[in-house]
Amino acid sequence: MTPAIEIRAATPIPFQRIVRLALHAVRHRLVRSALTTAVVVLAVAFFASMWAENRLLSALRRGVGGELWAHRAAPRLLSHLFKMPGPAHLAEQLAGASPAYLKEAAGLTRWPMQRIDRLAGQAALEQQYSRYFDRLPGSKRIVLLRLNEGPDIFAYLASPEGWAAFNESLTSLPEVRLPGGPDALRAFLGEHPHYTAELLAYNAALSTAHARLDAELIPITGTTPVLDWLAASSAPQAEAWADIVRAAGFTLSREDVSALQHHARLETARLKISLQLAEPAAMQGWQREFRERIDPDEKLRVLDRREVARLFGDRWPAATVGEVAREARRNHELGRLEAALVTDHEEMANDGLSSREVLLLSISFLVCLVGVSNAMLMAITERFREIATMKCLGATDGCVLKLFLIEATFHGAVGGVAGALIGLLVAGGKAALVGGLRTFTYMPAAPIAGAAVASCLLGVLLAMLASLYPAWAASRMPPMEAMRVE
Amino acid sequence: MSFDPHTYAQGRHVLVRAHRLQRHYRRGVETVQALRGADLEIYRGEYLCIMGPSGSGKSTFFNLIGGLDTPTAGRVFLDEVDMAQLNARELAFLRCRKIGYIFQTYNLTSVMTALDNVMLPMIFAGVHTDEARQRALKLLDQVGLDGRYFHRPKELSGGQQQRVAIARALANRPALLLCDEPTANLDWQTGKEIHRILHDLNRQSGVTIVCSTHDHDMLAVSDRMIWLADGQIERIALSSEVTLTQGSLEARHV
Repeated sequence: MTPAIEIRAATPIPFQRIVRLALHAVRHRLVRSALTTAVVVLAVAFFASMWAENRLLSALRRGVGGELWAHRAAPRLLSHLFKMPGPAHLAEQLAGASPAYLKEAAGLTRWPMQRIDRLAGQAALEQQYSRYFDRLPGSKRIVLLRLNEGPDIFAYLASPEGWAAFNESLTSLPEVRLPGGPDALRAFLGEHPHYTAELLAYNAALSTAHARLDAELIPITGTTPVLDWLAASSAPQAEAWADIVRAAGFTLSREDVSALQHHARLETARLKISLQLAEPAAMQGWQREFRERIDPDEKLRVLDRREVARLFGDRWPAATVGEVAREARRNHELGRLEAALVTDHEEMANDGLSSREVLLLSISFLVCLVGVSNAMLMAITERFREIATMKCLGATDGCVLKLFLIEATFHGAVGGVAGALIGLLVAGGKAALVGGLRTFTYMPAAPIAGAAVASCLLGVLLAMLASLYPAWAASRMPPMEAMRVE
Repeated sequence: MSFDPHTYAQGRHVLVRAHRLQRHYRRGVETVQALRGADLEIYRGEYLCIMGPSGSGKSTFFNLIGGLDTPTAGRVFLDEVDMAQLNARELAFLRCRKIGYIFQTYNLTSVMTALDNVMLPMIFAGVHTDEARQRALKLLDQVGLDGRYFHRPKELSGGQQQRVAIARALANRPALLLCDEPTANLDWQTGKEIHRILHDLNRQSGVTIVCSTHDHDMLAVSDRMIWLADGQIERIALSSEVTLTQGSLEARHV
């Protein structure tokens, strides 16, 4: 008596074997795989290039800003030390001042920090309101403010008639919103006389401080202007000078002092060279290129080494002129780049993607999903016999599902990697078109690597999502389809 | 003409029992009655032929016995187990280990070699790769394809592909082998070879073979034969006692 057929549930086959089967299918259907992968590559490359370009340009903006800041640090410090702006400009300076600047101001004037902070806050408010009044449509301004420009606006508004008239017309000005509302403005107007007095007091304290500093420095520098003196001084001399400045409340490190000297040297040279370049008598020997440019700074930028030797001969060492010219070129370039990044490429140079970019990306993802889904459905329709036969050989629905999901994941992984590479290359190219090779010195390693990894994962995710429905359809294929004869 | 079911059933063990099988298809408004009530007992170790004209319900009956389709009425028992009561995973197990299928269109995986094709059902059965490879090589030798282990299906002739399919169907040592018109796409000579292979398998390993076919030459190698017509079993007979004739051509005497 032969034993009965035992029937039990099929045990799932180990995952590794399914993976091997899936990869076998991919390996031998390379052209079809390539087409599916290409769709993923496009979507991922678009994403990667957008993301990477965004990161590259914002890093470039930060880097250029840093370079310019470092370059402008010396003249800024010198002007803070020695130049006294008028009260209106003082207010502007205070309004946008950094904490370091405010600290130096406190040290110079010997005022307590809170007083300076409060003044700076008020100055910022005043600037806000000035900007608000500037942005009002012209006709309204004339009617409202009786053609008063500048701080007199506040005096007018402080008066009862002025305030009443302004409040009335406030309702007819919806376009530009009053910051803080009418109550905040009212409070500011109340403080305004006190603020004006404070500003004048600050102005006076600052002048006194500058006069005092000048007096303390005269034994060292004499009556020479500070730039010339710094340019000609030696390092120990400059250090002695720096000690006095530090005692007045400024922070000056050793590097700051040598940077100041370097800047002073270049600046004095530049001024004198520019004067020479502007002399009409010297123009005869010059290239047409020089003569066509009027601005001496522009002339400086196009100075060529041989021209330098010929023109300046023994009056200036060629190295100095070369250095000045290089500096001029560099600052011009950086300034233009910064302006371009802030205005033309504003969307790209800010961290995070704008809503328009998010919309474009969403559309590209949708297209990718549809494309991969479609390609897979076509493949499954062509392979119906194979799938049904596998079911006749004992494959469970789950096994078939996993098989197609793994196939799709593999396509997604390959597409993700390729798309990430292509996207990063494209982004690098586009960013380099804007910022030149400087872009790569500021390339942020971690965000770019993050973009690469995110793109690869995105490829896998897109492919898996797109394959859900086709794989499910394949798993539902009845084994009887294998019997079909066409 | 003297087929006595009782004598025939003596000492035989029933493998598949079909009990009042019916199958209707709904095609839009009308219903097609493909099978109107068939009863059959298939015994272990026998070689059974299912024959009949097109539209007789032959394929429907074949699919029902093989567990690929569910009847609208009636039951199919495989070793006294009602197939309709089995869930999907149990059916998968059956198809993997207990039933082998052979198709008219061979249905080999075109991207795999002959050896990989034969090893495929053993993967689903969880057999170790080395053991699977050994068994596959032996099976391919058995069907006469030694030396063509690594050929792809497109490098093999129709007859050779069908032989690979037979080897694949036998990979997990099934109790039942179901063949759907195995020689329909083959020429007469190759068809006879396939018949011989199936006959040898049946005699040597005792696997039960059920074939649905139009090929009369199958009668020479099979034990029993079933004739279907119009959705019902018209006749069951021993293959040796049956001659099938088609219309003949007689030379005209001039």
